[in-house]
Amino acid sequence: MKSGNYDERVRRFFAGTASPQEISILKAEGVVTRDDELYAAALQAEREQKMDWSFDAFMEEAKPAKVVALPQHTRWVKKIAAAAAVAALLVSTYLFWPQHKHSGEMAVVPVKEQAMRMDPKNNAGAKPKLAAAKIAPVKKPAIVSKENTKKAVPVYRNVKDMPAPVIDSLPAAEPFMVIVNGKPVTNREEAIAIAGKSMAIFSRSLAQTIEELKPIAQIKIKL
Amino acid sequence: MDAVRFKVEVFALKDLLYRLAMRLLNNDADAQDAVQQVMMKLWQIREGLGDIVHLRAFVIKSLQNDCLNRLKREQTVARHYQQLGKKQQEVTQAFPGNMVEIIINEINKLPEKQRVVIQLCDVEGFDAKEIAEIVEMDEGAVRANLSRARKKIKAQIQKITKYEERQL
Repeated sequence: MKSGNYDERVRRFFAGTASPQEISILKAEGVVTRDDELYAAALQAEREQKMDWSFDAFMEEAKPAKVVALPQHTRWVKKIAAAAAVAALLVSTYLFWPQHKHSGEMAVVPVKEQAMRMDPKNNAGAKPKLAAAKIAPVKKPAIVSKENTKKAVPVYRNVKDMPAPVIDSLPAAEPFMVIVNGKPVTNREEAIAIAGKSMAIFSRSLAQTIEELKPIAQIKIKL
Repeated sequence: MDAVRFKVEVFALKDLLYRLAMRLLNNDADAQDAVQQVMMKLWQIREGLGDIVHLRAFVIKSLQNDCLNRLKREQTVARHYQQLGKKQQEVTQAFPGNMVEIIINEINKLPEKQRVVIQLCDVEGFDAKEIAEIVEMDEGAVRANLSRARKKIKAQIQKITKYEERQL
C-alpha cells in the first residue's frame, strides 16, 4: 500500500466510501492489489453485521418501573405488622441482651483504711476488738441535715492496685474458737457470744422465711 | 437531550457499537449486552449529553471502556480465548476456502489497539484524528498501528492465496 496522496483514497476504499472512479484509479495505479480487494470484501462483510434492536424496544426497557399504589386497608395492615415486628424485636433484644455485671476491671470498693494498715506483727498479740454488736444486722445511719454535713466524696480504687487483704497469721500456740473477718477470736466467752448471735440471726431469718411462704400453701390452681 | 435527538445522535450508532463490541469481546451475547448497557447508561445521563462536543467519540469510548472492563473479568477472558480458538478451528476446518472468514479471523488475532484502530478506520470509516481522540493516542501512533495491522493481514492473505495457488 503506497503512502502519500493515495492515503485518503485508500482509506475510503477500505471504508467502502470510495467512488467507482476512485477505485479504478487506485487499481490502475497499482495501489490496490488483489489482496487489498479481498481484504475490502472482508471489511464489507463485517460492515453488514447489524444489531437487531429497535428504538421502541429500547424505550420500553428504559421506562422506569410503574409504582402501583396499594389500597388503604393493606397499608394499615402493613403498618400494624411493622409496628408489632419492631415491638417484638425490642422486647426480645431486652430479654436476650447479655448483662455483663462483672465485666469491667474497675469495681467500686469502699476503702477500709484500717484493714489496709493492719500489720500482722503488731496485731498478733492484740486482743480482738470485734464485739458481738458488729455482726448484728446493719442499721441505716440516722438522717443528718445536709447543712451540717459535707458531701463525702467516694474513693474508688482499682481492684488490681489494691493490696491483698492481710490475714492475721494464726498463732499456733494459742487455740482459737472462732475466726471473724480473718481474725481469730481466742476469748472463749466472746466466741460463744458471737456464735450465739449468729445462730439467732439465722433462726430469725428462717422463721421469717417460713412465715412468708405460708400463704403459698393456700393457693389453689385449677387447670 | 430529548428522545428524538437521542435516537438520531446516539441510538443510531448501535450497529457501529455492536461491531466494535464484537471485535473486542468476540461473543455475540456479550457484545449485545455491552451495547444495551452502554445505551441505558447514556439514556440515564441524556441531560448532559447535549454539552459534549464530540458525542460520537464519547459514545464509542464509553463502549470501549465497558468492553475492556468485561474483558478484565477472568471468566469472560477465559471464554473469549476458548471461543476464539474454537471459532478459528471451525473457520479453518469447515470453510477452508472462505477468504472473508479467514480475514476476519486474522483481524481478531491482532493486538487490542490494532484491532480497534482497524475496526474504526477500515470498517467504520473514521479518520485518524477521530480515532486518535477515541483511543487516546496521537495521530501518528494511530497511523502506525493501522499500517502495521494492515501489513499483518496482507501478509496472511498472501500466505493463504499462495497456498491455494499451489494446491491448484
